[in-house]
Amino acid sequence: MKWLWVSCAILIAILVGTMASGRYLQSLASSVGEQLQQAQTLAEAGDWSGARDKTSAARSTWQEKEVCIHITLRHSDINEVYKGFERVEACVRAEEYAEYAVANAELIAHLELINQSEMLDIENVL
Amino acid sequence: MVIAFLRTIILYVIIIVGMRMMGKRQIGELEPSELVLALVIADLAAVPMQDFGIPILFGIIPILTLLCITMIISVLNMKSIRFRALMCGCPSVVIRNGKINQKEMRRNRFTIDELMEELRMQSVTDLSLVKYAILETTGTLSVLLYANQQPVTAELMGVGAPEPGLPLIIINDGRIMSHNLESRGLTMDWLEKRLKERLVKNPHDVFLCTVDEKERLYLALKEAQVQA
Repeated sequence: MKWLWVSCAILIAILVGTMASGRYLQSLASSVGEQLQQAQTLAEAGDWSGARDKTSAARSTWQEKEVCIHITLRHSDINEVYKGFERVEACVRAEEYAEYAVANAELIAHLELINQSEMLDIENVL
Repeated sequence: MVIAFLRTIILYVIIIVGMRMMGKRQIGELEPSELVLALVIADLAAVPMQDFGIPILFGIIPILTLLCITMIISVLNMKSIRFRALMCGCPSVVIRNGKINQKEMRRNRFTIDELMEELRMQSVTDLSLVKYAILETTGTLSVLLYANQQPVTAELMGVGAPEPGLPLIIINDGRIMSHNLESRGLTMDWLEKRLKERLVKNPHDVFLCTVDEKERLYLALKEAQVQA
């Protein structure tokens, strides 16, 4: 019977751990997405310096959790996010609003996809 | 490449530990649930070993989950007969009193060719000699012959046969197994004396030495010693 309880305990630990990891990634993706959204609002108002700072802050937030992200996310998804940041930062430096808006929207959409892929819902399970 | 090397070691250790926890039966006779486990684990381990873009956790978590589920099923199989029947099925009697039970054969999708092959593998060619043939849950066929077709035993012949008991290994490739020697109630002096009787100077020259409960010795020297 000991093995039954040990196995049940491991299964519960895995379930709790994976749910916690999912929640953590969701909150991280949401937080970075919000920062990028705020950066776009600033850029729309012509505050390119503020937009640059917000974008850098968003990238720092993402990079701070790099180890955790690499352990729990597919590396191709992480690379896509970094590529997105590079493009957005280049657009901010060039102060090209139209191009920036497209790049920023793509990055936010990618983060949203990561967020959705970690959601515990019937679509993801099936 | 070093990542592949390290990932392979990690996954291999996890699988070996998991398989050992499953018990010895896992290696030989696979129940349906165990067969599924073996097949799926092999595939799950291979993906993160080769694809560095996938975190190793994507392989470890499903493997651990499968091992835990299998462990739970094994314990429940031991505790509940109904659960065992549900998970592993029940043995089917395909031959009873020399007659083939065609209904059971159909139910198990067991063909007559497979039945004859299994019987031949057990040196049975005449179906009328078979009292029972039982298709076990592992897929093997157990064959029980009529009593008058069973091999003659010493008991049937009324002959007393000595019981030598289980021989224990005393010397394994030149190394003395002192715990086996002690468990048989023997001493090093006894062993040395017996080896001298057989003209063996050193236990290191012995490849295998066993002793049964009647203290009968089996001795095999190392090939180099035999040639000398």
